[in-house]
Amino acid sequence: MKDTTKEEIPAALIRLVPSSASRLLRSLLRPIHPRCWIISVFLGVVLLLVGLGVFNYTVDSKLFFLSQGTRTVIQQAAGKILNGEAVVLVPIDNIEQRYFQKCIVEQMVAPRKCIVMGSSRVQFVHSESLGLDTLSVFNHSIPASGIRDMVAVLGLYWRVHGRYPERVVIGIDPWMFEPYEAEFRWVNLSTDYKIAAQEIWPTRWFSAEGVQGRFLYARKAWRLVDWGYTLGNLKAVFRGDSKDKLLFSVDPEKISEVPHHVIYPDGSREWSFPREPDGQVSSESARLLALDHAATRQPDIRFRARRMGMLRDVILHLQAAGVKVQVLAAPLHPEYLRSLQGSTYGGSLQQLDAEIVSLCEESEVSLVGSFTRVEGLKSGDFFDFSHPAKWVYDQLWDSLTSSFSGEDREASPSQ
Amino acid sequence: MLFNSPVFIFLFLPVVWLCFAFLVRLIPHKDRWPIGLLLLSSLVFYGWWDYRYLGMLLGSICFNYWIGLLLSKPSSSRLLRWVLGFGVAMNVLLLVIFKYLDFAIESVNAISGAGLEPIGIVLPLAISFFTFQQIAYLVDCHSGRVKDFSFVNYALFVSFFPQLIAGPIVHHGEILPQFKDPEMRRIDCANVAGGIFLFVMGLAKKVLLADQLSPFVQSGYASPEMLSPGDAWMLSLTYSMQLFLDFCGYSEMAIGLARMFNIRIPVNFLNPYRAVDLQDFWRRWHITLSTFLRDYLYIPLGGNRSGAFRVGINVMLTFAIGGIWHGAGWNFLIWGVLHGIGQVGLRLWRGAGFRMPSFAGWAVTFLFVNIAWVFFRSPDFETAWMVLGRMIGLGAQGASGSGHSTSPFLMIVLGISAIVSLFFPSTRKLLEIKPGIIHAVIVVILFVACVMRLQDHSEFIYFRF
Repeated sequence: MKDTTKEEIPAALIRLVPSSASRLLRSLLRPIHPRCWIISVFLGVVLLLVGLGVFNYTVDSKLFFLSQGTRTVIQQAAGKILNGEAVVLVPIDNIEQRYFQKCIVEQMVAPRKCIVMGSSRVQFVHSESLGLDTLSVFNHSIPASGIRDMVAVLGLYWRVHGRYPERVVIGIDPWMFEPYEAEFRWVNLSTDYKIAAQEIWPTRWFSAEGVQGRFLYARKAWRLVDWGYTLGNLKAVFRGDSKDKLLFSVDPEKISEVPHHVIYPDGSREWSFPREPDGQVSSESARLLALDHAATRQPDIRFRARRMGMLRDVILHLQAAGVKVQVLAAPLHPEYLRSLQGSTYGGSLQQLDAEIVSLCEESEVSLVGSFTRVEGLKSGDFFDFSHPAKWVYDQLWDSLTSSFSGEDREASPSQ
Repeated sequence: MLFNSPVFIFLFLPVVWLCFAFLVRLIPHKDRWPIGLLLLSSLVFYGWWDYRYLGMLLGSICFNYWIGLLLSKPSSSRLLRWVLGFGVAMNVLLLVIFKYLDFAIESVNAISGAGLEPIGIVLPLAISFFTFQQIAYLVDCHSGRVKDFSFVNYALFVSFFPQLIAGPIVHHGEILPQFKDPEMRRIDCANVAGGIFLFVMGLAKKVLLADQLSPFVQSGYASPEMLSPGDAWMLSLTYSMQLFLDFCGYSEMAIGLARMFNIRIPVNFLNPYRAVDLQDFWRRWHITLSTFLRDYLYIPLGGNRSGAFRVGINVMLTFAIGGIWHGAGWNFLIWGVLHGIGQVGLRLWRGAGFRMPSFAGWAVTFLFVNIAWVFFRSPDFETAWMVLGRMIGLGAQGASGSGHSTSPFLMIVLGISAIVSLFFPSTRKLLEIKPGIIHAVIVVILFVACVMRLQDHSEFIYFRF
């Protein structure tokens, strides 16, 4: 047997590595029988999709597929909040917000006097700005919610308490009237949605539109292989989050550490997205975010008249039930609106504002704010293109001079 | 139904293919049934979009088939010419009514201020494509080049779902013989594998690249006043890439789908952005349209046979008609005319004995094509001029900037798109590949990545033509 000297080994390695690499490459490129190829592709796709589904189901950073453990955590948090405690839920973005609202309403002894419904744009609305005491108000804001989410919250009240609160503030967003892809998120409250929908639209066909069980579950299951959801879950894994690591605390010291993860006893919240280290709004970053959003949004989206009809029906239904209704249209970033000037979307936005004004006038509902009337507002009054800072809301309510608002302020024990 | 929609990929295609496989494997003696199945599937595919236009498609097929039969019967040449003229005129009339009538009314209003009310007809899907295919069929019936007069075969040739909506524009001489071929009525795993491979490559181009560029193009053309010079250049490049990847992706999906049913349809793209001159570009871009225009317009007009002046006129007319074929708008006409001028200029340049190094030729050609796409994409002249103006710095002072030239995401996607456009194997090369393990791995990864993004599926750009 030939001895291999020290000098010969590297040379042998050099010869070995390229030849084995090229052999491997050649074998990978070599055609295989088409039937085997089709079967391997089919199996590969199925395996990868199943693997992806298992990964997303396991991490489930938005708690879309709720486990018993996370249900318990959210139920406990709801109980504490209703008892008048501020609660820190870390990370707050990971809570299934619709399930949280369900727990809140189910654990309420009786409906609070006033509720606020809407998206993250109304999450700052708190009891003081409405002129009421803390335990008279509950803010049911749900990030990225649509009109159907509001219907579902009303359905919750109807199912659990058999009546609605005395006063309802409806926070609206322009995208509630768009053909909105993500609106199926409300499916976790579909039972309650149906209850309210049957009350609001007893004869109209869209009372049950899109709530067929199979369709909803298919859309929900599709999330298991959704690109955005997978990216979100990957980020959660890198951050070390998982649904089993949801933290829950009422430690007052923690509240000051992570103010944006707090839910107050009236359901209101702080800004849940990161901001400047000193906690202040950065005017420049808000401007850039606004411009970025304007640049990447689809410019030719038109608002759906039917959605406006849905909102009108909800308002009329509440009024018929003796509920005082108020509509809140928080302003959009002035730079964002300027960028959209001249585009189809910009025009539609103006038209939408006008339609909302006429809807509120027709139904004698007080309207607070406007999407497009932004006189006096500057970039530093916003976190991004659509989220005004807390003081903007306070100013909006302060400027409201309707007798409706005045009555409530007088009636409030906190005044 | 879109090729990139879940309902097509997970329901329509598997069901149709399994039915096809069932028929050819288990009932092989019924050799017309697979054709019937494909015809029925194609009609369902078309009707899915709007069943009311199915009648128009079927009416057009029946009418042209009948005219084709008349043209194939022996009769006086004068009468046959009249019949041909009538058939072609009716096709053009259909196209004019559905596609150009509102444009004509708006143009008359703009010129004369007549204030006529546009009719507002919805453009039926694929009308430009199936009308052209049928005009070619009638012309060839007249010249005796058509041999197959089976109605079902003809109806399938026009409506075959992989190519119905946005081409490639197929010629009856390429397709009809394949319907008679016994090779079509069998399960060919090599064809299925090749078809899947090409379909996924096309799907990836559309979903993973073109659709990612789309929001930037939409926002840029919606607010051109915001563009800085850098943004304007990025915008034009982004659209050039988006258009190629969208249409090439569609064509590859169509060719791949047809291949799964043992039908070969012609390739539409051969790395067009590698062209070193404009003639070369048109030999690589939308090849089936270029071939149609050459065979049924340019050559009948006289082609290269007349003097230089007449040839120039023929070229200009061919490109102007090619431009307006894409859509009812002056911008499309301008785009076509620009290419016509470019072609004439190239002939004059060559006639004078000038030559250009390949790299310089490529750079000039790409620049020309890229600028011409600005007219193609702009909703109106004002926007086109504004984008072009911003590209050379006109009126850019004080523009806040749209963020196109500073978006890292756009830079990355655009970079990948450019690599795919310039260096990725062409459709023809992809068709020649005999897939191995590495191809299977690529297909699995790309397909799963596409599936993950299917919730946001969007229309193909050429659907509106």
